[in-house]
Amino acid sequence: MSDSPINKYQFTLSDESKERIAKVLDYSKVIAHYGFIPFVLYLGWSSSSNKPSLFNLLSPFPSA
Amino acid sequence: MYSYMEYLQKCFNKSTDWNEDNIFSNITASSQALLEFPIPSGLKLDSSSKASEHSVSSLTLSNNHSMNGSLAYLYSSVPLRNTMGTKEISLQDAIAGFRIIEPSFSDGKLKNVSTNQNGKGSLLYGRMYFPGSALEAMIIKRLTQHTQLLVKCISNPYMDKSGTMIFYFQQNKPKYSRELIYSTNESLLGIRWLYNFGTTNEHISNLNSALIPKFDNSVVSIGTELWYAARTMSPGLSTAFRYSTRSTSTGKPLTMTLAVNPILGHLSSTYTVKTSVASTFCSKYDFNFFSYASNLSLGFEFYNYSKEDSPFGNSEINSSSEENRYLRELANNNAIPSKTIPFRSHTSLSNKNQNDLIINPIQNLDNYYHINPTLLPQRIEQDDDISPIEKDVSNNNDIHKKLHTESVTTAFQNLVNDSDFSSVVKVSTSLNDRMVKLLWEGRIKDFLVSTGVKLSLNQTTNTPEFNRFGITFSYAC
Repeated sequence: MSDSPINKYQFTLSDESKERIAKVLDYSKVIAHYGFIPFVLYLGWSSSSNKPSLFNLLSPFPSA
Repeated sequence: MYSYMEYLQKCFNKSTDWNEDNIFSNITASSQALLEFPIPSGLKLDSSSKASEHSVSSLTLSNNHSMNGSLAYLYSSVPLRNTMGTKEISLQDAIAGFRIIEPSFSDGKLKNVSTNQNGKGSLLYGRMYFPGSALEAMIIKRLTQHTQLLVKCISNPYMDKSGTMIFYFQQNKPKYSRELIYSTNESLLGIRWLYNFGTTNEHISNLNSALIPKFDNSVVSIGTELWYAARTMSPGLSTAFRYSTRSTSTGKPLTMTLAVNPILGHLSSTYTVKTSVASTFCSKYDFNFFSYASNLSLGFEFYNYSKEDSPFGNSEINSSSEENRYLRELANNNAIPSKTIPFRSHTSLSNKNQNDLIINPIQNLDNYYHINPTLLPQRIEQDDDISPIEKDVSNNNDIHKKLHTESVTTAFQNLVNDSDFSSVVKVSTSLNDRMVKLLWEGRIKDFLVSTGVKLSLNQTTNTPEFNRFGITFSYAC
């Protein structure tokens, strides 16, 4: 029975690379967590025609 | 009271023709709004501002036990043009109340508009709570006109499992709606389904919508949901039935629902009726056929008319509610460019005796136009077609009756939408739980204020006690 490429890959996955993958996943979670709101703001900024200033975009208070 | 972000989501749904009433989880929305309304706890301040038509920000501060707050941002690919700040928003839009269920209209014209402009939209919303920096996120992606993907997520870096995500794939058609749900918490899988009986005006879209008899305005829906938690291998099931109609004589809407959960043996029936333009009554009876436990809940809401003169006068801004705009657009689409729809402001309403405006079920042809001619956008368009018939064949009761019921229901609905209310009082009580909830929500200056109290009778000592008390101020512009 010949090993399928997937099995081979799984077999050769060392602890080090497992750790690395876990780390990458952790980092991506943190990036998604803190990057989501800036992403929402960027979408809002890029789609408005008048390109509001950063202060206007961030401020939850009505601007005068 | 909806938060400003919830209000914007509703506006997004409305402007993209997404019928929220056609979703299974909203099948008991009316009775929930009257019985299970939340009471604010502690002091809460809410300030929101619309930086542009696509971007909105909001800050919430509250001192419930300790000082905490949250900062929220929202992006909508559909321009949020017809949203209103707390100064001019109508209370009917800002506060969860009775929902008039309408048969889904898939009008040819409407369809074209929505596919061209709003067929595909997306909405992203993120809220970060502090202290703690927990994130609440929501993404709505409209895939086609009738399908959307909804993702909700809570992420907390200080929690063990660091949060949960829930995915909804929703299909919302006039005849039915389906949802597939997956939650990462417990690997919960769910399917929800709602079916509307009767005609859905799909095949009669070529007819003038005004000529559809109004008894067709009743909606019978049946829905069911199935859940399966893959990790714990526990199932769930419930089914619900909703009948929503309007009185043919007075045009007042009422909704009845029956929800059954056979696994828990729970049965819940509700009856909600809009008793007048400004008041709604709701009753709910819960029964468990395993334990024979039962509970009767009653709820009531009463709107107060605004007395002060609005600076807007007859301006359309004041007449706020979005259904209005929709009706007006519909009337305009039906080609009556020469006639503008007269607009009733709340000032004219308060000047007149309110009793004059109560719709009399027994009207004859003479005073037919006296009822409230300004409230009938659709009536105006009919004038040209109908007056000769009415003149010639005034004894044609059939047509007359049809138009009469049409106008009464439309008029009632318009009256509800157009009325300018300044505050609402909600009362709800539950006999078994021995509690009373009181909530006052209204406009003070430019703020929307919500304050309420929950009182209950202690089961052992039989002394009344305060369970909850709070006040919320919100401002948006």
